Amino acid sequence: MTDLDLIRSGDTVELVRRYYGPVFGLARRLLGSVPEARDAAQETFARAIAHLRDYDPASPFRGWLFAIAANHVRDLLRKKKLLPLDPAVEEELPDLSLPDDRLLRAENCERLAAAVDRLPFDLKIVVTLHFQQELAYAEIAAALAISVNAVRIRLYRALGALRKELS
Amino acid sequence: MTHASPVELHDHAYGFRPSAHVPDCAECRRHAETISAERSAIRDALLGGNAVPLRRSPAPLAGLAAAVLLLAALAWILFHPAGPKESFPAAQAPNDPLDRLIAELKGPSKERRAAAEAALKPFGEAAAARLEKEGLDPALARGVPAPGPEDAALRQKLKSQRVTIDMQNVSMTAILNHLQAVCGVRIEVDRSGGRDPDKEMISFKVADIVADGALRLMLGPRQLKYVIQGGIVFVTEGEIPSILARGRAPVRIAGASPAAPPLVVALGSEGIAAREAAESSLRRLGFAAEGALWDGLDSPDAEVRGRAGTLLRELYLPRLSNSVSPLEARLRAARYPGKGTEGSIRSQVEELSAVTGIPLVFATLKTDLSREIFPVNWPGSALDALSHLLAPENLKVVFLDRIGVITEGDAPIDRTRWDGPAWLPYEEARAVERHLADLASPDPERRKNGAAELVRLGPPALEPLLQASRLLDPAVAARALDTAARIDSWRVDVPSGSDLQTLTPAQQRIVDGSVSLRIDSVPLTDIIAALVKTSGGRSDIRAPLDRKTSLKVTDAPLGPLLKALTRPYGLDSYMVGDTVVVDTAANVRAAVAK
Repeated sequence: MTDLDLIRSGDTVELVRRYYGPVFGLARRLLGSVPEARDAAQETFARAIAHLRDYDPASPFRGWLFAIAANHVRDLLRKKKLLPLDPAVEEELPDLSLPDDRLLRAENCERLAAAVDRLPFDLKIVVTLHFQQELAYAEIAAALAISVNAVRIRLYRALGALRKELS
Repeated sequence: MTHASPVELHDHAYGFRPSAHVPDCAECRRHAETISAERSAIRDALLGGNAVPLRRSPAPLAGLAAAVLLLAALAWILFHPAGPKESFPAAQAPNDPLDRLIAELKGPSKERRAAAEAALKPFGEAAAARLEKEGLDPALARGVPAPGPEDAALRQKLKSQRVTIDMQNVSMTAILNHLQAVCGVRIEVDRSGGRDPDKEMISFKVADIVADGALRLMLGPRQLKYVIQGGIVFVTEGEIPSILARGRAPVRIAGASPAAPPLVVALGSEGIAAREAAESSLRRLGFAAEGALWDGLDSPDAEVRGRAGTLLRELYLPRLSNSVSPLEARLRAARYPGKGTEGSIRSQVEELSAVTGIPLVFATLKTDLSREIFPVNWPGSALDALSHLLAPENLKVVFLDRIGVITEGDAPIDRTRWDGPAWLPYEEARAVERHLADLASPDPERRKNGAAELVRLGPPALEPLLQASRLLDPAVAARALDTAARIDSWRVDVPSGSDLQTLTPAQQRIVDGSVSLRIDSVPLTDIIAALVKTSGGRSDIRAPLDRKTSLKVTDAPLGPLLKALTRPYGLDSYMVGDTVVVDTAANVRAAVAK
């Protein structure tokens, strides 16, 4: 059954079963802690189910769900004062270099994962939604309430930062 | 030589902006491949450290080759809106469809196993026997597939569409035909219990109630009910219509299409238009896209996985399209004020046509059209009024392009068009596939026997033959159409000769020309000549058409009108210069195929 079928039939159990893993994975990457990620995932689903009537079937459900998750995690980090209240969003395209094989070396795999964890929140969430959760750019843009071009810029900024860290 | 900038390379590799230069430049291609490899490395790193393993397969580094093939396939499909034509696999029938599904059931992928389980249901007992033989649970194939969202929408339609019926001593078929016309749904009667709705005469009167209520009121006292499955309303005695319990199988026309894999990739495109175009093309390919759709379930792109799964589920859900032609929709919306005096069937239909501005013509009928009948003397929808006029006479209207054709109620002409593969009882489906393969054989004897077997199978083979004519190379398509015409030459939505031609703008203007004519009791030859002349062309009628008939039509397009007039006699038409040539269907096919 599609997500919409499940929503219409009220089968929220199956919805949770289907998306708990990805939501937990996103929260785990953003928060860095398994217990906190578990709490965040539960809170995400509680909010989603409570507001299912607000879901617009014209957009993919998982994008809507990840938006709830991202906003919740952002609020958590702000409360812990781990995020500035109004982060400056740099909208200029960074200087991109021609790629080399720094990120490709197998021994750098763990360093690469750790480097992603150290990215600023706004870059880390785009990287996670794109590479880990495999959302399309338009879905990421909708989930984060930014433009597709902003997704592009943040992705490239993240790439530049990762290359620099692994040099 | 100017190379792509780093931004252009990244935009290309990340899919933000494909570059025309990169695929043609070895150095830029190398950089783009390195960026793609970086993407894979980041993905692997994140998934390796994550508690949630996401299903993925190794991302191909040769994404550029796939992109080129995708662009070529999409360009082909846009240019040939009927869909890509494939060479029929060298005269070999496809393997048993159950082979694939059972292999998927035994496979390691949970998603593919679930898809295979759902797909097995329509096969019914044929699959159950095979499952048992393979050591699997036969119950997997038993039971009717769960109703889909289309069925829920159809149920809602029946609960909202209001009807008024007042028919005395007519067959149940006539009343069901009326409901089909008014509601725009397909109704089939389960005849397995020996019930013949054509011979069951009833009187039925309801005023302004929902169609669901009308059906229950009519069927309940007769120990019947209706069940909605696969977009069809089945009238049945039991819980499951026998045709569903017995099991069906799809008739697969062509082998795997090379256009399908890039279309499946395109399901994950950024733009909605590109995704929808890919979906639409994959639907047209039908089972020719099956293999690519199964592979799509393993795509690293979640969007592709989801959409491929949906398309696969649709492929294995036997149904008819319930699409309503624009002309029918217009007729339903048009108001008919009612008529106070009696008149002949012909005059009443002609008057309704004049009032609504919708061209209606009569096919060759057994019914005496000069007989006086009661008028529709109350205001309402023009379609309702037409149905009230026709149903008691066991006539129906078929909407063809831009005209409505009045024909016998039991004529094998369908209002609905197939959008998906034809589904037949399992053994019949396998037989049709075998004989369709014979049509492609280089051995003329085998082709002849294959065609004869398909004609012997009769109407069940009709739709697969028409689909074959849309999907296969011209020579086999022509044979398929010939065979279809031998089963039923009055299949009006078979393309005419001129439909199969590439017409010049001047020729197209003649075929599309709007004609008006009123003429009484004149040989059909003269009628056709007059119509073609009105449309600016000349006529060359090479087959006898001496039968006298009357015609009154206003603003009807010439092409469909010619089909309606010539098809009952096994004739067809095509264009040579500005001349419309009317000849036997076989001669027309041969001329067009040259």
